[in-house]
Amino acid sequence: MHEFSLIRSLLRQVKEIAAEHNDGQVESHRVASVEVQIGALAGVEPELVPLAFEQLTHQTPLEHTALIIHKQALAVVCTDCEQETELEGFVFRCGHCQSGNVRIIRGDQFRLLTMTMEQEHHAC
Amino acid sequence: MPAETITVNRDIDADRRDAAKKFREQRSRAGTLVVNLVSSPGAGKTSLLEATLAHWKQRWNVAVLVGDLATDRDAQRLRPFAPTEQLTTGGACHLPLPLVEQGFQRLPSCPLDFLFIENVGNLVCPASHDLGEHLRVVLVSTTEGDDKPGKYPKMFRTSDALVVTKLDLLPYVPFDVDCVVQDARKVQANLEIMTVSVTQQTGIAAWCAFLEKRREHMLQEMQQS
Repeated sequence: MHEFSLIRSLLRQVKEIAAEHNDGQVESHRVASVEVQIGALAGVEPELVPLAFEQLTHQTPLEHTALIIHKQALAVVCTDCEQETELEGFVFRCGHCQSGNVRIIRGDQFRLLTMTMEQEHHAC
Repeated sequence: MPAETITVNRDIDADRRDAAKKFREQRSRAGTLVVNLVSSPGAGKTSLLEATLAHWKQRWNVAVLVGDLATDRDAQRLRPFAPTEQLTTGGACHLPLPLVEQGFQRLPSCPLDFLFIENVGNLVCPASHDLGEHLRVVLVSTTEGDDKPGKYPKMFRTSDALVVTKLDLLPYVPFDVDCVVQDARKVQANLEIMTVSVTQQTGIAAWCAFLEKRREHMLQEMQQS
């Protein structure tokens, strides 16, 4: 169960980018949403990610930040026929020539895609 | 309310992966082949290391970093053969690179030909952690069942070699070596596959020769670059 350590790492990077963004600005901006992409072979269970995100942001400035998750299919390129195949399961074969000499090109990472920043709410 | 979207598009693990690459390059330059042994608990990682070190009879300079949730039992078994540091994860299900680096610093500072990292017994989380190894070796024992590769695809996909252990128990367990080989090759067609029995001392020489060949290969690559 290493989703918590990955979300900790995600949050550290989000905070760094937000601080960089706010540096020198007159009005500070909060992180309204964070968009991530989870590959089928990322070693991350997408169902557990919102739970870890919620627990780790509880009572922090990121408490009300929305998390948007996109799942990404696994894709390989064949080193024999050079064609790409999107895999449905985990049988690593080229869909064109059936060769097992394939290299992963997508779907083995957990990526931070975008962050949306908006002006802080001010209570009247 | 004005909103602005920042495009980041970055692998969350990028820093960790860079750190692992750096550790691997440093060990390459020192002539040390780093081998990360992974398996479920009880597959025989420590026994395979004992047999390996006994077979080599100090022909090579070897050190071991051994990870467990608690106790230094594995380190106690390996210390008679080679300098060994126990890495205690305190409950974590895998070895992270910083713990490996700390353990490495505690080892006697002599030139090493091989550095073995015995990971925490687990076929899930260690798959996602590059420890700066040159070679990831996954062990499957005959008592675990021959259906493991398809069930834990990331571990087998990210491994360079598969060692089937406890081959002496084949007459007593429903385990088909061909099945595990076929299943593993579906996930990683180019996996190097070996079989061993530590109790009967079979396959140990071939395994040791494989490690020596891979170190030779690493040294050649170093010279070329």
